[in-house]
Amino acid sequence: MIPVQTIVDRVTSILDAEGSDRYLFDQDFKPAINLTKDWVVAVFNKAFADKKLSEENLKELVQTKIWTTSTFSRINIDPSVVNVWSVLGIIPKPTVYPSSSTPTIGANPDTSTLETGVSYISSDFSARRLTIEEWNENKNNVFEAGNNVLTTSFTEYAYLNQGDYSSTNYTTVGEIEIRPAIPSEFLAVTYLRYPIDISVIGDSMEFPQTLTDLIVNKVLNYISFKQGDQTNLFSVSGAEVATLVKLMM
Amino acid sequence: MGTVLRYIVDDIAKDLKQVFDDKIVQQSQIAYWVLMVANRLKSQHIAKRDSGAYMHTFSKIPILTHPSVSNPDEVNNRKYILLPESIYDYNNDGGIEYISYYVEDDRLSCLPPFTRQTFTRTTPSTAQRLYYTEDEKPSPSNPYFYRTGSHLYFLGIEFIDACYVEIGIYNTLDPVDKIDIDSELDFPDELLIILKRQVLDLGRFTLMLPQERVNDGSDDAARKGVPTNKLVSVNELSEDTPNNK
Repeated sequence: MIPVQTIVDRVTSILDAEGSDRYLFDQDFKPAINLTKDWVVAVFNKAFADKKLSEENLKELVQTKIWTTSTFSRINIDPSVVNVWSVLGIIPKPTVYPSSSTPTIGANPDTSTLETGVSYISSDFSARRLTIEEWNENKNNVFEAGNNVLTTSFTEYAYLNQGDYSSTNYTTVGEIEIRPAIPSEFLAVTYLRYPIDISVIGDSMEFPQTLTDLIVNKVLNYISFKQGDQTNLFSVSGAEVATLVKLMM
Repeated sequence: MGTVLRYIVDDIAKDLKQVFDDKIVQQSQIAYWVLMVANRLKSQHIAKRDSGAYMHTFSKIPILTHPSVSNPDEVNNRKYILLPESIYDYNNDGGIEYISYYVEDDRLSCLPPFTRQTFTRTTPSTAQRLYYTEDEKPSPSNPYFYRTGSHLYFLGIEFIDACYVEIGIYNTLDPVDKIDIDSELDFPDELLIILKRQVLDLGRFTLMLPQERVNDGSDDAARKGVPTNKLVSVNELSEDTPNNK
């Protein structure tokens, strides 16, 4: 976690604006810090896609929650409850705490439930992500994950990324599907939570402290936009950011 | 008893570097390779040795009759049993070690029942000759069996009420959709090194297939051929070959 106060102090120092009201938190620092947060997310997305970063770098944002699947072996991650940045793993057949917990069966066949009172402990399985084409092609291939043929000790689960299967009779929008089917059972999902916007100076940015320098420079870069393109600040902070991103990637 | 199948599969998966989330070769495929090679090595091992280590006895197998004809292999009103497991197809149905009437071993002082009357193997085409000599004629005290597929039909017990038989067979390993990965593999430990080597060879060839052979929607102008192993004749490796001395 990086305290917003630390970022503001450093930025103010570099701007040589200590004790001045030239830069205000609500009008200058807060928008620049939140823009920087979104920019860092975009940079991390690229790094993840290139497999150049592990999720350990964002341990503050890694969460594992338990859902009960619908009767179609699907779960809906409601963005108003859980704002997912990226799914890191789908874990079928989890052992949970309390061990006496039972899955909450939904009102409709397409209803899945986030189990807020249940915690993930362990599992012997991990589902592999398939593309839409692989999902259908591999259904009966015993040597591919997610096949419906081997349901003995060689069961290998797979999941299909979020898709919208809704209709007038099927109201759930946006679901992840798991195969072989595990209807109305617990399913653990490990994901990166999207970082929350900061609102007051007492907040913290949900990134590792090693990124402080990168974030300070990027905040300066955004603030420099307001100063016109002939200033030193834009080019200096831009060069700093480029160097740091190059080191990271 | 043998090594646990999971240990063999995981050992090979680790050697082939197939223990990460986007692995190309799944555990089930390695297990399939292991069972494929293990069946061949085990059948050779049994053929070479006079040992009961891999013979399995199945008792109280019910003698049945088909009520009607259904092709293939099902002939009505002929007494038969179904092989309890798939067996190695040795010459002269050597995968079947013995068949005898099944009687409860209730009196320990007597001759064990399964040694008294065993069934002799014959074939449908040679069975006719048996009926011409009194010594060979099929009868309840001199019964015969012949095999068609998974059916073992009997001759000589048509007019008695025999209910069960006992059978000793050399059965194959269970297929990948039935075997338990945490069970001990019914396979000689001394052959594990050969098994591993042969499975690694299969896996190595699979993993040598270049990415250009995979349809991932992208195109690459610089295609490479499939690498191949040089095939070495056993004669070339022989000490009798002058160049090898």
